[in-house]
Order: sequence, then structure tokens, then C-alpha cells
Amino acid sequence: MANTIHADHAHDHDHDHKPHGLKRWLFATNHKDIGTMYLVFALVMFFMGGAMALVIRAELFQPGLQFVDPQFFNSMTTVHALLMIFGGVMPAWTGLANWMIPMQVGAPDMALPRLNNFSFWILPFAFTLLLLTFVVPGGAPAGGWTLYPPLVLQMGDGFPLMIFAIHLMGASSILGAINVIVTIMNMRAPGMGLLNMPLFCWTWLITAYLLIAVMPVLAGAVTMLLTDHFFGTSFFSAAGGGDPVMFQHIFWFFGHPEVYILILPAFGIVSEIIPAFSRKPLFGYETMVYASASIAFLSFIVWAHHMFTVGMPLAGQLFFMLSTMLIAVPTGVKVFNWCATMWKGSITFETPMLFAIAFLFLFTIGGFSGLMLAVVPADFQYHDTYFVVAHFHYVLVPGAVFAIMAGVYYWLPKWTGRMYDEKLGKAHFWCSTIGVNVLFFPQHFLGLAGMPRRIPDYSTQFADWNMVSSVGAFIFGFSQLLFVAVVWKAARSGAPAPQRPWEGAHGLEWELPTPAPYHSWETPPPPSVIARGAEH
Amino acid sequence: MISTARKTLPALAPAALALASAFAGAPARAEWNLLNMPVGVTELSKQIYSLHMTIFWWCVAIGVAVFGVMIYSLVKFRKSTGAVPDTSITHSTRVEIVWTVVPVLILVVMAIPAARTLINIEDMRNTEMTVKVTGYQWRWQYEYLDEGVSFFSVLDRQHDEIRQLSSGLDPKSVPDYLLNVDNPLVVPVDTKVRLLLTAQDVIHAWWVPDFGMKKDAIPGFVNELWFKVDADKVGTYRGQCAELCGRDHAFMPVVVKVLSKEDYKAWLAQQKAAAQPPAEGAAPAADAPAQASAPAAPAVIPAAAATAPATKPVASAAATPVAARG
Amino acid sequence: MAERMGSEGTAAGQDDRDRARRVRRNAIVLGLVALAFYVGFILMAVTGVRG
Ligand code: HEM
Ligand SMILES: [Cu+2]
Ligand SMILES: [Cu+2]
Repeated sequence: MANTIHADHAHDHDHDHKPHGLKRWLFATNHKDIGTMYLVFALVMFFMGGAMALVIRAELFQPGLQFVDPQFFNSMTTVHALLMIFGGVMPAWTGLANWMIPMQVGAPDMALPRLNNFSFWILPFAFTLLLLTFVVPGGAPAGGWTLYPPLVLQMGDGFPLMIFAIHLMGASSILGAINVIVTIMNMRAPGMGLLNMPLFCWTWLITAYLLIAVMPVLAGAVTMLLTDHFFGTSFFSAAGGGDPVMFQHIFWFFGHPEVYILILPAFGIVSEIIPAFSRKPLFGYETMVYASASIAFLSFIVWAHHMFTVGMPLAGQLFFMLSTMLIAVPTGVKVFNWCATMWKGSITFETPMLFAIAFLFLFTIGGFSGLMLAVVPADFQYHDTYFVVAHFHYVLVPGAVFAIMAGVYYWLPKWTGRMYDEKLGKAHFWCSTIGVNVLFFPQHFLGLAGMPRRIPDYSTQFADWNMVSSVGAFIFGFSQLLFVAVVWKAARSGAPAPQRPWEGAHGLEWELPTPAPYHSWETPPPPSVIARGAEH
Repeated sequence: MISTARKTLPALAPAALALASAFAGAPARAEWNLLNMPVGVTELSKQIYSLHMTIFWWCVAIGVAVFGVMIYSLVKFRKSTGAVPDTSITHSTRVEIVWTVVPVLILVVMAIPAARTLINIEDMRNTEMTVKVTGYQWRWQYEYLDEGVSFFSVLDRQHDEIRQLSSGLDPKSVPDYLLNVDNPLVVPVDTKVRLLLTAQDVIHAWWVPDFGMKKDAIPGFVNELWFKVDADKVGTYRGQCAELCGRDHAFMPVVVKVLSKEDYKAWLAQQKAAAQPPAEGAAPAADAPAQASAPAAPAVIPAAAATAPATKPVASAAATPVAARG
Repeated sequence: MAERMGSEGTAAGQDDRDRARRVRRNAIVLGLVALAFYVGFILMAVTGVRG
């Protein structure tokens, strides 16, 4: 069967109409080209955001101010977060969606190729605007990525640039999300039911709905900041009858679903990699779909757990404590199902699997600290300390970022037609995993011992663990150069990859030849191929 | 506070030791064992500590089970040892119900004491004295309502010199680096003290870990919290502003001096004497740096504000009264 | 792509056109939903619905 398909596609290569040179990228409408651009863009942003993180950790290496002014330090934390969230993780997910969704649902391309081009090319402009704030009077945003007024309104001339940049990022993700939804809803091959789709498609579909619901809310919030700053409204100023806490409610109504936007596609990837390398179907496929959907639903009613200290009425605090505890349940179900998938499997430890296993352990640790943070009275102590920093970095770095890397290692052979160097990949894995734990685990201690977050200097009793954490940061940061080396080497000179490089991998992408043809499924896959692909 | 002994998390100790030995070159210091939340010196802080430990041990227990299964699988079911996959295991409604219901039960068990403590925390009845706390960029103002005593509290001058960029001065040369102020808040021991929190410019948060309490100080609104320091816990307790409030957010510590009731009375009498007109409140504020934007003398707070419930707006220079936030 | 253009007028071409129409309609609806959320939240704030 694979041969027939290969033959079908053989002649396609002749009329790819692949444009050449700059035009290929500027006017790209091909899902793979756009996916590549998203991924490269995300990588650049990861390195810029990472450089800022290293400035932060260098300053925190010892007590006392050694390198930067406190204001610039605050800009570093703020812009680091904005770059990593909106420039790194989210575009990386969109890049992976672009590459994989058409291949996985049996479509030739995304449903709206020109919109796809547009939503990508917005991003470089958005981030150029954001980074321009570093050179205008008043400097870059320094009020935290959460943009709380009144502090954010004290920003200098860069304020409108930042607001406009956020609007552009939001517009880009909404357009990207629309494209994902219409592709999945309309472009599936005949016979490809929704419940035949790989989980990556499912979790992305849910993510896309979340994006459409909450990115406009963020846009609304920053628009109101803009009018408060320039047009004399006082949405968030008590002096004019407004309420600064209302901004926090609106922001977190966006913000909590946003954190699940960052993690749901990771759940999808892990749900494909663990079965592949356990040589066993995913345990409870449908439960996984429902768990993802309930997480998405619940994520709309937990937002105020980020603001327990603002002085909410008792009933409000109790409600948000219970709803937050509740959201941990479907999250737990997912972890249990992944465990059950490995149970009685036949496991091998190639690099994608190593990253997926690390995800499993370390994301769970982040889930535990999340559970602790849900306990309101205890959160009065944890809130705005390094304990929270440790929590969200555990779910975001060895969570979301490790899943992105797992996905890249998993699909790289399909993309490039070449294998990466397994030894180098494993070296990258071990350096990253050790680095990330040395970096973030001690931050739990720091937070519990009383160190607030977002400070450039600290009391001397916090010195030891900060030094450890900084050492971990440099290990982790520089290990990522290995990642670039692995990908570069594979793309340049890797050994040719077979059509299905992983013995246990299922899904339509593995039914395509390697490297995947420029237009994915120009002829929809026949039912027998779909059936084989759907053995999740 | 931070110099008082801390309980070590037994379960985390091995991890800590491993990390510590990895850095054997670093000189051994007492701070390596700063691993856990302080038990604190108030009724509430102890309740909070025990909630923290309860949920922590639940997490450890679940972690042992989950990580145990994972590690067992990773060891037992490796292909290299000849494991053959059992592809018939695809789902089981029964076990999935079990691992949905059991966590729900654990959470209910956890939520009950948490709710009880929360209700305690919110119980503002029978407070014996009230201090209004106002956050400014970057200092605190304390006003003893009904006493006419009020002053600013700013980072200690010597610490302020050390913390300047490339000052060349050693932070370890002073005790409690960045956690010392010119004028600490002074309160009596074994007394239910209520704080009314607000701010003048941006949002700040008042936090003393040993009291277990942290609350935002929000411009235009008043929040409240209470604490009652145990009778045998006279001493000085330190914390920091916990909400990012601009450039010098790291440099507006909170220091509370807890005196015996008699000492407190004496202190208060002395303050009142010093605060006699004409220089009401100006003396303590005068030596604080960077006060240009502050009112010369702290505003006298109308008595009505003292009894305003939380989240009611407060009349102040920057904020006109607005509708209550629900 | 070239192949699909060549099949205009055939039954398959009809399918493609139907699908293109559906895609466009879905995309517009989703875009409008996003816009409604944006305007809705601002309106909510303007009219002073407070938490
Ligand atoms: C078991 C599920 C989870 C629970 C119960 C939980 C709970 C919480 C709570 C209560 C806070 C507020 C802490 C505070 O500021 O005092 C928080 C913060 C945060 N969480 Fe989680 N969380 C969970 C999972 C996640 C996941 C999956 C992500 C993202 C991938 C995430 C990302 C974050 C982030 C980014 C923050 C901090 C935001 C900020 O203040 O800058 N959490 N979490
Ligand atoms: Cu949240
Ligand atoms: Cu502050």
C-alpha cells in the first residue's frame, strides 16, 4: 500500500511549483514552508528570551547589584516572559500545527493558505515593535508580563508600541486558530472521523477554540489600558471611578486559559510519542479527548486563583479554590493514562521518548505545586514568591518546551528525510534535564523561605540556592546550542530516514513517503490507510 | 523572623543534600537548610503551615504512587529486556473511574480544613487596634488610627548604599540585608491587630511570612487583614513588598517590632509626645530619602475611614470615592 | 494544486467549490465570534459590570 501511495506522489514532485529564493518564503502559502518559518521564528525568540533569562540569573547569582539597574532588570523579566510565551511557545505550536495537521488528517494543505501567510508575517512586525521599546525614552515594559495598572501606565514612550505589539500578536494567533479549526473541520480525508484523529489534532482543535475565546479578551484589556493612558478614560483608575482590580479579573480571564493554550498541544504530542515508543495503543483515547475538553472548559472558571490576595469576598475565594482543585482532576487523569500506556508496553528510549518521559515526571511535579497553590490560605504565603516561579516554570519548561523538543525530534526525520544523531540528541536531553532541575527545583525552597519574585537583589540568606539556580540556568541555556547543532547536522548530513523511522509510530504522517512531499495528501488516503493510521 | 529556626522538609532533604554535595566547593552555610515555609508566630500562620504540610504530604503520597508506577514500567517493560507489548490494554472504564473519583475525594478532604482556616482568616471581629498601612513607591506609611501617631518606614540607609549598582560594598557586612528599615511598625504581643491596607500610586503588597499573611495594597481601595502574635513571641519580624511596584520594588521591606504590652504602651506614649504639634509626623519622615513626592506630613485620616470595611473606597489625595467593588 | 484546478467543472470540482465555500463561511463566523468577544468585553467594562 505504501508503495502505491509513493507512486501516486512520485509525479507530484515534477509539478510542485515550488517558488525559489526569497519569494518562496515571503509569499509562502505552503503549510510546510510556513510551518518551518514559524518554527525558526520561535527558535530565534527562544534564544532572545533565553539571553534575557541569563541576564536575570547572572544578576541573581549573588546578592547585591552587579550588572544591571533595577529598572532594566524589571524589563528583562517582563520582556523575557512576553517573548517566551507569545514569541516562543505559541508560534512553535502553530509551526508544528502547520506541519503536522494537514498530514495527520489527510489534507493537501491548510484550508486557508493565504491567511496562513498573513498570520505568520504579522509576527516579525509585532516583535520588532516590542523590541523597539528598548531604544525609546522610558525603555521597555517593566511592569511584569501581567501588565497590571496603574504600574504599567507609568511606562515611557514605548507604551503604545507595546500595546500595538500585543494587539498584533493576538491577531496573529486568532488567525492561526481559525485556520486550524477550519482545516480540521473541513479538510479531513473522507473516512477520517474526528475520533480517528491523532491526539495532537484534538488538543490543537481545543486550543484553537480557547484562543478564539480569550485572545480578544486580552486585546480588549490592553485597548482599555491604551484609552486610560491617552484618552482620559479611567477603566482601571480609582481616581476616575474605575478599578485596578477589574483589569486583573479581565487579564486572568484571558491568562488562565492561556496557560492551557500553552500546554494542551503538549498533551497531544506526548499522547502520540508515549504509545509510539511503548509499542502499545494510547490508554483511554476517548477519555483523553474528554479530559482535554473538560480542562478547557474548567479553565474559564478558575482565573481568580491568580489573585487570591486582592481581597475577594470569602465566597469568591472558596469558589475559586474548589474550581482550581477540580481542574487538577482531569489533568491527573491524563497523567494516569500515560502511565497505563507504558504499562506492559515494550519501551525503547530514543530521544523523543526521553523528552516525553521527562515531561511526564516534571510536568507532574508542576501539577503538584499547582495543587498546593490552589489551597487559598497557603497561597497567601506562596503568592508572588519564587514558589510560584518554580511552579510555572516546571509546567512550562520541562512541560511545554520539552514537548516541543520531543515533537521536533519525533518528526524531524519525516520533515527532512534524514535522521538526527541519536548520541547528540541524548546528550542534549541529559544536559537539558539536569540543567532544568538544578535551575528550578531550588526555587521552591527560595519561595517557601520567603523570597519574593521579580526582585533584582535579595537578602543574604537566599544567596546559596540562588547561586545553584543560576548555575543550572547557564547549564540549561547553553545546552540548547546542542539542540541547534543536532537539527543542523541532521538537516545537512543525517543518514537517510525510512518512511516509518519509529517502529511503533501510528498516524497518517507515517503513511507518507519520507521526506514528506511538498503538498501532503493531494489524493486523499484510502480507507485502509486511514484505518492503519488510526491505531492510536 | 528569617533567622529563627526552620523545619526541614524531610522528603526534600535528600534532594537538597544531593544538590549540596554537587557544589561541595561552596562553603557550608546555615542557609542551605532554608527549605520550608516558616511555622510563624501567630495562630493563623500555624494553621497555614499545617495546611501547607498536609497538602505537601498528599502530593508526596500521590507522587510516590505515580512515580513508582512509572519507574517500575520503565524498568520492567523495556524492549531491551525482551518485553512484549500487550496491545489488548486500550482502556478500562473501571480503573478510569477509580482514578477520577479518588483524587476528587482527596481534594474534598483537603478543601474542608482549608475552608475552615480561610473563614478564620476573614474573621475581622474583635480586633483590638487598627493601623492603616499605605504603600508608596517605595516606602510604607503606618498610621495608628485613634492615636494620632503616624510615620514612614523606609529601607535602612546603610543598606540603601550597599544595594546601589556596583557599590563595591558587601551585602554580608550588615545583618538582615535589605530587610531593615528606619522606623518599623510597632505592635503589642498577644493582641488582635487589624491592618487597613491601601496605596497611593501603584499596587503593593504587605507581607510578613511569620504572620502568614500577605495582602495587596491597592490605590483607591482598602483591604484588611489581621494577626495576633503569640504571647511568648516578642521580637522583630521581617518581610517585603510582594507585588511588583516599579524600579525599587525589591527595596521596600516590611519590618514589624513586636513588644510586650507594657513596652508598647511606653513606646506609644513616647511617640505621642514626639508627635505633638507643630511638627506632627514630620520628624520620622524628614530623614527618609526620595520623599520629594510625598506629602510633607502624612494626611490625617478621617475617623470614618478607620471603620470602612474591606474593599470600600477610601478618600485620599489621589482617589475620590467610588462605588464599592463587589 | 494544479490537478485540482484541472478538475473544475467535474463532480470533484463541485465538491471542492462547496468545500471552499464552507471553509470561508466557517472562518468568517469564527472571526466574528472573536470580534464579538473583543467588543463584548469592552462594553462590559464600559457599562460598569464589576466582579
Ligand atoms: C494541576 C493543575 C494546575 C493548578 C491547580 C494550578 C494552579 C495555579 C495557581 C493557584 C496559580 C497562582 C499562584 C499565585 O500566583 O499565587 C498558578 C500560577 C501559574 N500557573 Fe498554574 N496550575 C496548574 C497547572 C498549570 C499549567 C498546566 C500551566 C501552564 C502550562 C500553569 C501555568 C501557570 C503560570 C504561568 C502561573 C503564573 C502566572 C503569573 O503569575 O505570572 N499552571 N497556577
Ligand atoms: Cu491559572
Ligand atoms: Cu513592591
